[in-house]
Amino acid sequence: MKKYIIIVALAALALSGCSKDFLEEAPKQSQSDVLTLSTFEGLDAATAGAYGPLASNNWYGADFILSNEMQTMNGKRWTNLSQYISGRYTDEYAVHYTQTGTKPLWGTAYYVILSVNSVLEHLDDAGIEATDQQKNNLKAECLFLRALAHFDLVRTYAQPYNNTLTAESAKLGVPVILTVDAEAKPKRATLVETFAQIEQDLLDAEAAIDPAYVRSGGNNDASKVSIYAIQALLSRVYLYMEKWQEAADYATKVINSGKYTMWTAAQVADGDDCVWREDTRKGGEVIFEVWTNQTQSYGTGNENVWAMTTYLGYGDCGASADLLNLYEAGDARKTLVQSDPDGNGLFTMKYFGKGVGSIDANNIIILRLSEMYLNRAEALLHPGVTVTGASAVTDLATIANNRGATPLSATLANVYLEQAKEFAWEAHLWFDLARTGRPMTRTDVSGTSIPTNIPAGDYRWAMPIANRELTVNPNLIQNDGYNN
Amino acid sequence: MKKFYSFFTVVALILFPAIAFAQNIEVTGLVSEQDGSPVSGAAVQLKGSVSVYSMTDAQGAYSISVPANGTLVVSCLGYKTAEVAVGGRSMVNIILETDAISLTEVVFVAYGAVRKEAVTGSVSSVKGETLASTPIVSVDNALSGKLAGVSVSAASGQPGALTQIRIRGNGSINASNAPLWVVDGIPVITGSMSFNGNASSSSALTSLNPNDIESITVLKDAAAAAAYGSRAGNGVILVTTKSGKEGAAQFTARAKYGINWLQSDSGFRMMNASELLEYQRDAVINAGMDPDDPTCAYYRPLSILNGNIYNAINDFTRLGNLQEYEIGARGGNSRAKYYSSFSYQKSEGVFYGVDFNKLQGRVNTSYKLLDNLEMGTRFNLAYSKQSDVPMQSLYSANPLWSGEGWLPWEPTHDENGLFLTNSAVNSGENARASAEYDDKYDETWHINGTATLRWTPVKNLDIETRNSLESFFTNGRHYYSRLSHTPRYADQLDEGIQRILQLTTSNTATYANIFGGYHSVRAVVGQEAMRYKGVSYELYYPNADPSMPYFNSSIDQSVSEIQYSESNETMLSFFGIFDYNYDNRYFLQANIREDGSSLFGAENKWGTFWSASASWNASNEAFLKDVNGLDLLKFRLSYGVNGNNGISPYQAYGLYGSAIYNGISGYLPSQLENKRLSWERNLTWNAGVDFGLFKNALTGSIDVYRRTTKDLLLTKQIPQTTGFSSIFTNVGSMKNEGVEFQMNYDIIAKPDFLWSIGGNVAYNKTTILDLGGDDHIGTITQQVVGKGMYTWFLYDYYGVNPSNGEPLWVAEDGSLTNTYAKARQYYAGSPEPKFVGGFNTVLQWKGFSASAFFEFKTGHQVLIWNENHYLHSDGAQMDMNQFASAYNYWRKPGDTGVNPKPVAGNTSGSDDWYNDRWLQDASYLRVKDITLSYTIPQNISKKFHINNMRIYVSGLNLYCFNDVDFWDPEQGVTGITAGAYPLTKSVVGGIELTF
Repeated sequence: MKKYIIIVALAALALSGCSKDFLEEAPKQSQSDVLTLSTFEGLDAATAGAYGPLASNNWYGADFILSNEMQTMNGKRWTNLSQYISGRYTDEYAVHYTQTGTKPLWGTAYYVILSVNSVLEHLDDAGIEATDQQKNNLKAECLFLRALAHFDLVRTYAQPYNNTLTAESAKLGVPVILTVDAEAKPKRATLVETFAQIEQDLLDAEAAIDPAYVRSGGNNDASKVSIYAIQALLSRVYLYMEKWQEAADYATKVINSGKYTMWTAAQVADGDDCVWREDTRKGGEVIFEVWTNQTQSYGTGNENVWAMTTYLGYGDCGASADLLNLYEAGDARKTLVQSDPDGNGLFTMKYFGKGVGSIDANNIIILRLSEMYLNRAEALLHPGVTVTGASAVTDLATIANNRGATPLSATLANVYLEQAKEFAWEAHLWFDLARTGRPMTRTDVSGTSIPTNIPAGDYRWAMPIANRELTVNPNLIQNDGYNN
Repeated sequence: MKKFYSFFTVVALILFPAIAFAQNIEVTGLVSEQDGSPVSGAAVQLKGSVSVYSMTDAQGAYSISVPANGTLVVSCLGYKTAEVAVGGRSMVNIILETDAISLTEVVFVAYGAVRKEAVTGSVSSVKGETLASTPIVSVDNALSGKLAGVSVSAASGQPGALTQIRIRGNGSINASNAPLWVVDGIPVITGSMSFNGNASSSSALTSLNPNDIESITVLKDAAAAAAYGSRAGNGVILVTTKSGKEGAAQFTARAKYGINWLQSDSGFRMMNASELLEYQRDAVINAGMDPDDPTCAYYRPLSILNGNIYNAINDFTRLGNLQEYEIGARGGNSRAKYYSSFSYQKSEGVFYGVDFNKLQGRVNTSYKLLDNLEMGTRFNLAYSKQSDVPMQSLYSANPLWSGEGWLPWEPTHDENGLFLTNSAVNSGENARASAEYDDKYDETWHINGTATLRWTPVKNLDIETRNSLESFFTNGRHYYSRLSHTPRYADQLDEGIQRILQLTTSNTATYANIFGGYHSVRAVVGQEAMRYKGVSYELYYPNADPSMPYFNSSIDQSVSEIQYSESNETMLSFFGIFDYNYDNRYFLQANIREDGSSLFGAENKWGTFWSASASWNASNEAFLKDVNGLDLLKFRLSYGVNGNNGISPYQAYGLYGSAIYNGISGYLPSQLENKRLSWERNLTWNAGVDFGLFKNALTGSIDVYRRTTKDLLLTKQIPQTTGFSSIFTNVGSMKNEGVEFQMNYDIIAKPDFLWSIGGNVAYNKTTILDLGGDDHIGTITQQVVGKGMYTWFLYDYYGVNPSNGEPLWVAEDGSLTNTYAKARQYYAGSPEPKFVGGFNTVLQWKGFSASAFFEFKTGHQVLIWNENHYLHSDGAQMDMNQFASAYNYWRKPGDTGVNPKPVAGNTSGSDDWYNDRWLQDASYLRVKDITLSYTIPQNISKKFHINNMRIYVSGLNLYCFNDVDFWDPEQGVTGITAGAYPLTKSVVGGIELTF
């Protein structure tokens, strides 16, 4: 009898041996957020991953560049090309956006914001084993990405910072998301609040980052956040906020760092060795760019910038004669607008493939040295703005001299012109027109429904928020002009 | 023979008030059946006394102190009550006769068994022998139409294929709708064991031999099922396998052989060559071209008919067959008992390349270590191999799909009988060549073993531990031979293995007693824990060496692919069951269960499930007791809350997946955390009445129920400012309401002449109440608030324009249009039957028996859109044969009620999937089973040392009354299939010997 009692007792013991975490079964093929966010290695990997969606076709991988260019005189839909035209970017060219057909940036940018907020919320948790500087470097990367995401969102879905419109929605920016909350139904912050947060994130990032820090590993250091990327973006944000002195000062910090050198006319001119075909940057202008390649998680496929802007791909996004006519003869940048072999259309050559084994991808430059000179030139032309040893005329000349172009005199109009020439097809023009209150005008268009003049103050300078967002979040207010 | 099946069973009996006598003596003895097997749990009492009684133990032994001149009354459910005078003896052995027409059967319920009379919830049960009499591959097939409220749908007629069982409708949209199967007290793994797409769908239940089954009980309402808590929401099917029996070894041998074939009972067929040619020539002419012009894209001269004509369906099908052999043994002594069986089954499907083979063995033993300590083991081992061709697809190697669409003038084989793989219009595929040269199969090894130990430390108390291991190992292989495929597909090799292990421990303490003669009590407390682990690997290689088509050292690893997947689940439970019965008139039952599960969110890991139920056996009341002809009248009422945990693991977690950017491997969030992710809850009311009339010749029951599912798991749209656009969460609700009726009538019940009829019918209506704020989900097959589980939102096809033969649709404003894009969409139908049921009759005369069983479903539709789109295409598909029904097309002005005129390369949209013209009333009445059998008289069979010999022949699914223009009206739960293996007709003969 005794031995049977022992058997029963043993069996009972085996059953009650269920420990407290018996009911915890974490997945093996993906990692629970608890695990990812509980170690420095996990936080580091989560920060590295947060860059990925920048290359998404919803953002710099395609739509953010292409739609913003097609809305301006830089873009044109060529209709008699011999290659296949897919029909993409038709509404973008017509600047025709609706609640159900708006830009896809919203979800992707907020996804990056979620990704970096998840890291930021846990960086200071107990048990994260790293030096304060290591944590601060991750913090700076996350804050930069959060600022960039909010900045691109507010540029897309809101009227310009200093607009004088009277509609309630014209004073609104975008929801500012600083915490992880799956149940949040946030309101849109005001434009002032949105920009203040972007500025604050960048200032915090600048203060946190080790000036020598560049994330280790990977292919291209120019695709990683550095103190100069933070400062360069600050310069641009200040320009949008019309804080001219700060814009000039931050441009100067980047220029004076000596880290970046101007490309020459020969380097810029179209050709297999031109700077636009580089895969990784070793010197030159690029401060921050999105690295694309068909082998990574985002930025692949037939709809990326390369495929849409070349006659070798779908070729829906052509360049206009208006753009070509900006350039004088001998300007290296003129070579960056070329016709297809049949002579039926013009195309930008800035995204003609890397030529490094995967020709069907290009890096997408977000910040480069030329912009710093032109930001400073623009700022210096406003009253009371001074930078020791710098002037608008020399900054304008720095650009022109390196492009084989005639230097322009120091007027705001000339700065705008040089910006238009320099940053064509880099998603600057639409936003530069918006923030400076200039109309979008163009003459070389195909089709009758394509607007040739969008005046300042038009509702179309802010894109509609998608209907599905308004449905699930009653706290959102739609932009004026899109209520039907 | 009625037996007491379980030690748990409580006996309740009516004790007569009396006075105790003096001068008692101690009487002991055994209570047994006629064949000597002990009757446990029998009540032994002194006649005329309420206080002097005893119960027999597991060996049938009793002891009682009674006057020497007293009389013992021994009663037990399922037996006739016996009275024996003590006559001064100290040892009185009593033999009980079984009670042939007793209603007091024992039914298995959660964690025990009770007399049918004591059941308070809604349960239906079916006996093993009823299931085993027909040649089925898997036991789930056998439940079809047998039990009220249990709807069995076949999406495929393939041997070994999965069925879809719904008990009282669909209660969930995103979680499982399948019931929990519990075999010998342990929940088992069900569903498809196919993975990697090698076999179409092989049911985990095929390992269960129907002949091993003693009984199946279906627990339908909350009260009956609540003991299974978070897994009980869709009902529970309890399977009890046969146990050993005291006595000399009894052997059973069975053999079956059957044939099966493909046949439509609705007149469905494909066009013959001359019909198709006429159709196609008209289509070409209607398209403004000349079919006799050799330069025409559709050159269809009449001379085509002078060439060879082929019937691809005939070429790709065969007469299927099934054979099954089984031997079993059963016996034991007072300490050790055993039941064992071994079976082999081989079936060849009606399509070449479709085979199913199974080897299965079972050993059930019990052994008494001590008088109060018993151990038992139940082991089932099975190996099966399901060979397949690409059924359930619209792929050219699917013999049915390809056979249907194969042009009659397109050669299937050359003059040497070699099957050709050069037909361009069939993508170079030939189903016979694929069946011949490809490898496509799943092999499955399945072990299910349970060991139990039961200890009775004191009278009326049982402590039992039940520990089980269930494991599946599946090996799947698909090799595309270059002899049967074009270079693009040739030599692809796809193999994989899957391992599943499920460990369960179930531990209970059961106390059962009768107090004061009237108060019968049973209480169970228990604990359970379960751990599941599933792992699979899949290997793919596109360029296998045809002479060695396996993974070997020569494969180019840069182009091979490997995939791994793993899922784990744990569960921990505590539960209690309480039964009370007063005087066999009033019954109360309560269940409570706490389940903890790894599937759910941190804040909702644990859930409480409960039920309460009561019944009143009015026929035992004094005022009804003497009513003539009324033998049973019982009212039942129950309410309870149970759960549905049928979701895949890890959905509550916030997850990170890997992301590569700029050559750096990082992580990105892949899923939002949902700490509150929880069970769907089913709140079920049930009211029922059971009746027995005319000495129980007419018995039946009626149940009405309402089952409301709350916290329905849905993908809810959320603001993208969260970083995600949706979250899987508990919102929404739906309900199922219905009525069930079951009846049996023994019209003639004489010892050698028996005729009975029986039947059941159930009505169920599913209504979606709330979808978390949305008014519908889906586009074509929708879930709509206020409607059922599936509603088809289809384009309103009107018919043909009699003047020109063009298709017409009803537009949004009610006008007619010939433009498909302008057609209105409306809620056109649903695949959910309103009524399901079955009826049967049995006629026995001496050794002869004839039985027939019919099954029906009605009030629903099927949507044969996949086949019709291509094979009823109004000319859009000129490279495919067409349904014969398409031959009835518009030929001249004035034709109405016909198909639109065929136009070669038709673009009108009349062939589009989403036209309501493909919707058909799917009501059917199926002659499920007609069996004739003869049992040879024992006085003859005994001469051959055979106790019993039965021979039979069955016709299965011989005819199905229906109007669906296709092979068979059954198209699964969703009413839509694609190239599915139809239900076939079969005739099976067999012999059973007992010796």
